[in-house]
Amino acid sequence: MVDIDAFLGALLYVVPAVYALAFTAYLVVFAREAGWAVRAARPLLVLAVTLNLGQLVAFTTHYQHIPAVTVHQVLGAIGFAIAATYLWVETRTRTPHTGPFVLGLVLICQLDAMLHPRFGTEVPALLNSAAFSVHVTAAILGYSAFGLAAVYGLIYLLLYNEMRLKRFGLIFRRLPPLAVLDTMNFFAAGIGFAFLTVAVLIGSFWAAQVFSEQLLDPKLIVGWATWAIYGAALFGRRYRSWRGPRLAYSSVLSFVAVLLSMVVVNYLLSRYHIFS
Amino acid sequence: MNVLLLGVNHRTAPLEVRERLVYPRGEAATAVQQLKNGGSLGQVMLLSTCNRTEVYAVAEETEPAAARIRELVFAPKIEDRGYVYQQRDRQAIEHLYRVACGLDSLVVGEAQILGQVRDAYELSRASAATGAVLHRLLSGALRVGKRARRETEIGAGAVSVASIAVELSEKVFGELSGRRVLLIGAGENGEVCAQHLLGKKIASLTIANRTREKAEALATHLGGEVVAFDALAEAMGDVDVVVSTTGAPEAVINAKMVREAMRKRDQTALVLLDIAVPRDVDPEVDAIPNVFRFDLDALQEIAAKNLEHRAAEIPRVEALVQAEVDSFVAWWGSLHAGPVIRDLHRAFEEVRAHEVERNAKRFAPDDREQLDIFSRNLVRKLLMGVSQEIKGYRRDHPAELERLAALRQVFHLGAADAAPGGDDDDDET
Repeated sequence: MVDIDAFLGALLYVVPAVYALAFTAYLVVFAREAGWAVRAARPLLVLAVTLNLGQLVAFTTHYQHIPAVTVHQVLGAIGFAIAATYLWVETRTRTPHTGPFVLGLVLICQLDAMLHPRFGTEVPALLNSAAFSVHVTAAILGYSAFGLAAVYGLIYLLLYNEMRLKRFGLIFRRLPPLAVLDTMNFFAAGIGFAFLTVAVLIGSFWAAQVFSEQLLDPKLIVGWATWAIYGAALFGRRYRSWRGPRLAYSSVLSFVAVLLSMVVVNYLLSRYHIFS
Repeated sequence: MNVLLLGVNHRTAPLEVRERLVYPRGEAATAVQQLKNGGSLGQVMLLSTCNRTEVYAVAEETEPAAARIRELVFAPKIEDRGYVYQQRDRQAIEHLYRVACGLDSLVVGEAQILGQVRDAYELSRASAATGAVLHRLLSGALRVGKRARRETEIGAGAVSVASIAVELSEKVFGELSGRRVLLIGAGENGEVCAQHLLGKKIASLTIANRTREKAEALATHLGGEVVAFDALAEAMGDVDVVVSTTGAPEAVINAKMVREAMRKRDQTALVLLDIAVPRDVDPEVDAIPNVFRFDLDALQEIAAKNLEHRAAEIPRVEALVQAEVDSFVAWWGSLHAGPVIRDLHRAFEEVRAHEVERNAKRFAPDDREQLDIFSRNLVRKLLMGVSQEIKGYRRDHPAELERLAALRQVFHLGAADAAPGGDDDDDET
């Protein structure tokens, strides 16, 4: 009989370790195109994502709830969603050179989840509902897409500045064209916006039912503010001249603002929206 | 039997010599036929580009073959003042493989040479001037040439002004199909750049020149439209890439014009390629967001970096070349009659042993030994005549060498070679 607790305990360290190896291989591919790294990077990432998926499935099956009770678990899930999405994008585009940037963010998420583990079957009664599951899943997917958009925005700005300064080194040689990065950024932000719309709508509806006296939950306000900011940026990109560097700055700064507001909400206003 | 090379290239001969030695396709076919009809040169290939004319041949005797090549290929066109080099066997094979990888090219790593090697081989094949050795030699050349480009970055990055202009535009816009280009100036450099951009299926080409007639002539030649020289700001609002190459003593595009154009184009990206000296575009435009200005210094820096990067890849390509040469030499060594007979017996024995083992259960235990003896005798007798025949084959006899190679190929006695072929269709310039 497999000891699931021991298995999950081991995966807590193994998954970030394999992500770290994949990140290192992608970094070497970016810097030197070394043959071993080119051969190893993708299989390592596939292994990391597979182990991560196994970890999430085993956790959910064993503890009877999705690992999204603490902000650290949510970050871990966001890391997984970003990595899986990146794997799909790389399969489509056949370019591994944005890998180190994306996997850097994934690794941060995974390390945070590793350092703040929470194992247990107890789930706050409030969270034992279908609405919560849909809300949290949509929110995780939405923020993952925003994370990816921010990475593509950051990469865009790196290449944009290198070209404007007429520096033609590794960044220039390795990264995809600006138009491609702009499209990826727009695409990721659009998907994130769609998921966040679902998340905040269900979240608001759910909060109105559960916390009838606390409708001004800070995290919900942050959710609506994030929705409005991204909505404005996407509208600007689609119908105004907010393309290229403007959309890139917008994606990066919005995601930083989201992360900061999460920290503020979770650590300074901890009486709200915390269930564990 | 020897692999022989005689040639002239950009290292040994000046351009005026090389240009006299260029063999157009029809003339090359005639030369190959003449060489082949001489008797001692059954397998021969003539590779002729503007940077090299080389003859690769498989010959029984080196010196008469070399003399014939000099007489038929080089002597009618040039007086040899030490321009023609001659190499044989491993040195010649190594040279061909380095040529296929672009290591011997004027611009290291250029891609067109691989297509030209393949075309030269096709010409020999069409002239029935190939055989097992040349086939294996060229298979190796095309294979190592492709590997060099696939597994290393020997061909990475653009190195000419026109191709760098395309690379920079693509780095901003990705695919250039559907993009609009404005060419300012009707000179030769601008025309070459425009041709490269047209090769990328751009949507439109607009030309502006102080002398409108020149712009119209170029527009007719390239397929574009003409715009008045004093309407540049407005024209820039409608295009994505501007190539400026006038001989004007001062800037023809200033920051005010670019700001006006950017307003018109809703601040979408604009690439300004300034390949004029003195510069046509005022450097102050660098302050305008989403405008990418590149002058000749920038283009030359990219070329230098790309060449430097290619040079750093040379050791990796040399390793691939050596491995492929070793593979050819090993194959060549395996074409002695002895090893062919040994490998043939080994292959038959493997089949025999496998079949005996597979069918052993159908026989009584006492009969199995008889089955083994019977099958061994059968195989030995089947191969006896063949072995006797092969034993007398000499590798320096072309027809017998062909048969030895064919036996290896038919019975899979060693690695089979794919037919030479490739994807590179361009010609070296």
